[in-house]
Amino acid sequence: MLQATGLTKAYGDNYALRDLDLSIGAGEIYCLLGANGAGKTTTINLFLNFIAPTRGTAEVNGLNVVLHPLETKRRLAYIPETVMLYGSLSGIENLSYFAKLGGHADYSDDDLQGFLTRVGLQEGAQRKPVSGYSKGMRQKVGVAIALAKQANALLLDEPTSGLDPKASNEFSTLLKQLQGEGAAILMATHDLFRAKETGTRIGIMREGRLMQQLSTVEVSHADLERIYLEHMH
Amino acid sequence: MAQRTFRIAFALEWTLVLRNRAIWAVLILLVALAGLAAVNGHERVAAMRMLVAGLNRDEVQTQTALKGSVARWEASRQGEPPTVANPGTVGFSLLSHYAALPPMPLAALAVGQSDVLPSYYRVTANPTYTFLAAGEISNPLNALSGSFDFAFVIVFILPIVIVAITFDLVSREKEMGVIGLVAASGASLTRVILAKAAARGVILAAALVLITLEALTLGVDGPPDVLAGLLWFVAVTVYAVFWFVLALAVNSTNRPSVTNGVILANIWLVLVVVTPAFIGTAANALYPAPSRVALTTEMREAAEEADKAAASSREAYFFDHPELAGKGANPDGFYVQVLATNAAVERAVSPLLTEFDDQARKREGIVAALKFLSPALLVDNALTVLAGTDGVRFSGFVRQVVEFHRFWRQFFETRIVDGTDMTARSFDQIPTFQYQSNDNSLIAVSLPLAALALLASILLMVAMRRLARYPVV
Repeated sequence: MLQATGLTKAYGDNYALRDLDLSIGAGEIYCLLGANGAGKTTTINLFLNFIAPTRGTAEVNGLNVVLHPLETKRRLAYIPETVMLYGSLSGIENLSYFAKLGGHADYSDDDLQGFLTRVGLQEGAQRKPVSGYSKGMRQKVGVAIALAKQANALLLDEPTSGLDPKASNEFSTLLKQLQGEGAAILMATHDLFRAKETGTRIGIMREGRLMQQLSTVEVSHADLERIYLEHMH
Repeated sequence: MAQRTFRIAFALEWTLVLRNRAIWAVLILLVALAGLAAVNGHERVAAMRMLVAGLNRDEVQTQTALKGSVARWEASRQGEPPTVANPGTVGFSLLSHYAALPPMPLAALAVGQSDVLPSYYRVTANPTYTFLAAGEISNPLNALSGSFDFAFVIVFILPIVIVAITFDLVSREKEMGVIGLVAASGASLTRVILAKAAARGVILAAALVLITLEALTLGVDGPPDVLAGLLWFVAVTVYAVFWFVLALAVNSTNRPSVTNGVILANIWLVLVVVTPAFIGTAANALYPAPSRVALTTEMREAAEEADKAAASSREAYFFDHPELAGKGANPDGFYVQVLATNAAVERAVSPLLTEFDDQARKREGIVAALKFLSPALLVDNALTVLAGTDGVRFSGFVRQVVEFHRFWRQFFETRIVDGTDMTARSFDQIPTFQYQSNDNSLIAVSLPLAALALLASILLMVAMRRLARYPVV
């Protein structure tokens, strides 16, 4: 569902991403680990066609994201590190807007409320202006937007960054549910523990290169940490 | 899909604007200022109308009284004719005619040149220079800054309002971080941006309609001039579109909101304040008006010379005709001498007045040519043309007054030279001034507005091209 072939992004002589080959199938959660500047966000931005590749291709459901920018985005859901929304609108209004933009104008108020409830946003908060939301609450709306889109591929850019452990855990549970529904998920993260707990595969990146890929069932927490640190030095 | 995206984004932006108190505050301020300016203009024109009506009433009363005196003498024919039957006394001293430029229907909306150039002249048999000041053209925006009128609100304040509601149209989405979610939604980002711009454009258009109706309701009396009203709205709309598109073009450069605001503020400063001031200064530097002190001195010297020459001629005349000596004191003889003196002074000051007129014409020419450098000047010019307060209409009025003055003088001079007294009937034959309207406002405003519309179209194309490639990160 998500496929990168020789995907490269260079700014002059500097490579933000170099020759990435990656394939994420349905029901997979692929976690990209790496330090800042390793190329995790660049990979996600390339899949979103927010930036153009220097060479190589990124495909969603077999469609090249450069050649089919809108079609591929309709099949993707994206949750950034910090979900920013329209502060003067309520959570449900924000959800309604992004759902409509994504082609789901048919959701009823109950449907929208259902999505927000499913991600754990309390009913009392759903109709309050987002300007009063905490980061965790905004992230939940972001997840609800992704759910409402009914996309079969998810791109998550450090979605649990800054969330408290409880919220992070709830988020992981949701990801597992989506995985169970057959979504292909690519998640960039710094959180080794969360990657091991949530992911099915892990890719360790350094200076724009995918250094190693691991299966989470085949590696322990301690081994993952050791391997990761080896690559960082 | 494209239309649906546009509709959805438009509806959202509409909601966001409805909840944006800052935008409403700015729009309410615009409406309030426009209303104040319209009322202010209405009062100014009403005061001018009242003044001219009062002067005309006084003039009619004076003329009726003079005619009555002569009529009473004509009825009895007893004794000498009254002094008021002397054409010189009537033409030079007792009677005058106020030649007034009638305000056009939209006069209240733009002061234009009406606060620096007279809207009426008191015409007597005295020389032209005694009631016509040698006209000087000044920077119309300098003149505007002295009066708070509706045109000032349009030319100076409307761009600021437009900048205030558009400077962060796209950049704010990026700074908020929402643009990523929008771009990832599967909808065209360009269409979303255009829908947002359209929503704000509709709000701005509604504000323009509102302030125009406000101006026409509060500022304009009398029968409506539909064409002028429509052209006025077109001029205001084209100017607003220019600033709106300019803000969109600046937004398309992918800079922070603060930078956009600073750039637009600087453009406003250059186009609305600096360029018009520069053009005015350049026109004055290239074609300076001759010194008024020099003109006054020249006129005084010429009058003294003419008086001496007249006295000398008179002495020579009385030396040859001693039997007439002492009769020079009678009014007829006196006014013949006045005519001779006036003619001499007019001949003497004519070159200087011509120089004044030539320099003024050249300055008008350079300002007319360079106004295309500033949209503010273009629109200000269009608005004053439509209001009938532009320099060209005033120049035409002065020409008509000068022509009328020729007839007026001729009426009295013929009688002075012929020694014919005024009769009651001749009072009815005294010329009256009637301004001949030469309305070419449609032609006068079409070219500047077309030029501005073309500039706005080019900016829109540039903005669209850039927005189509607007970077999300």
